[in-house]
Amino acid sequence: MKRKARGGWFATILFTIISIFYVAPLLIVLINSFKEALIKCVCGALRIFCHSFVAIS
Amino acid sequence: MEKSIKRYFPVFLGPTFLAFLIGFIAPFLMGIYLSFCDFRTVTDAKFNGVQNYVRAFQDGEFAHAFLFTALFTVTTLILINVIAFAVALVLTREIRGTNIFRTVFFMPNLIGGIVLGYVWQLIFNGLLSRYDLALKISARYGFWGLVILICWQQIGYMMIIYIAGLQSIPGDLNEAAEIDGANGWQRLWNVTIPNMMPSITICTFLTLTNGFKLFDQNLSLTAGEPMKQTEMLALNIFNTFYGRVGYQGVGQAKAVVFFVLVVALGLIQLKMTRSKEVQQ
Repeated sequence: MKRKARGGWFATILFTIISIFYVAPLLIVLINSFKEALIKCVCGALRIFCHSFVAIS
Repeated sequence: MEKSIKRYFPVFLGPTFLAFLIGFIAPFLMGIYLSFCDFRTVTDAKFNGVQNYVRAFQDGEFAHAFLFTALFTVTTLILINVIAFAVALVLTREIRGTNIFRTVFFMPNLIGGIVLGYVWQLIFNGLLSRYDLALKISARYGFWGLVILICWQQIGYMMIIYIAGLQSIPGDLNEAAEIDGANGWQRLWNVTIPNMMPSITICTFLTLTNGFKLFDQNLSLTAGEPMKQTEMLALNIFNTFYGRVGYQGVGQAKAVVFFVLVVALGLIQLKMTRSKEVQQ
């Protein structure tokens, strides 16, 4: 028997927000797969790490 | 009928046993033998006693990797199991969208560790760069980065096991406790958790062994940087074997020590949690 949760709507909203953040890294992979591989650095002072920003630049 | 089938057991058992012998037992025994040899390739191995083991135990990086791995495993074991259990408890109640939430939490398991490591490296570096920092400049960032990545990846998997365990608890046990006047916490500690011990045994075993065996996420997220401070046992063995010429035997000895360690810890953990399991 399923136990009814107190504040069911609150749990649903909370888990919806958590789920959006939880799935965000996977969405980044999906979005990046549609991008052109442009080696263009826009990260200013932190040029040493620009390889990490290729996908979002 | 059954007797006539039993006569042919070698026909059914033979091929699988042969494959197991060739694919597992033979390489395993050969690996143990090679750990006592000096070699570059498996055909030029020369027996050198326990020299490889002595060199392995004298290696400070190996000791550091062991301590780092042990700390990482304890942290992830607690975090993953507590969070996965809590999420499973909520998602077995009547709230809207439980199936969608279960799917979302399980999704990170569907992508390989190398890809996830690079994705999270991008995210962490993106966030840390706002404060002129980066993931690989401090072992502390590397450690917590790995913890977040592994928790994110494994919570969904453990949650599924806990949900299966929770659904197998008879509803009348909780109802009886409720009628007897037990509150939510008392029901959780005295009814739910004792009945969940088989699931807890499986999940703690999986998180313990996964923590010690972690390789690809470590390789892609930090690669052991800075200065091998975030190098875990599996990566240390890999780097010893493939990164240094003439250290193949030492790498092999480390692999055997690693195997013994994981088996011993796994068995101790199984014995400890199995003793707490109850019959329904």
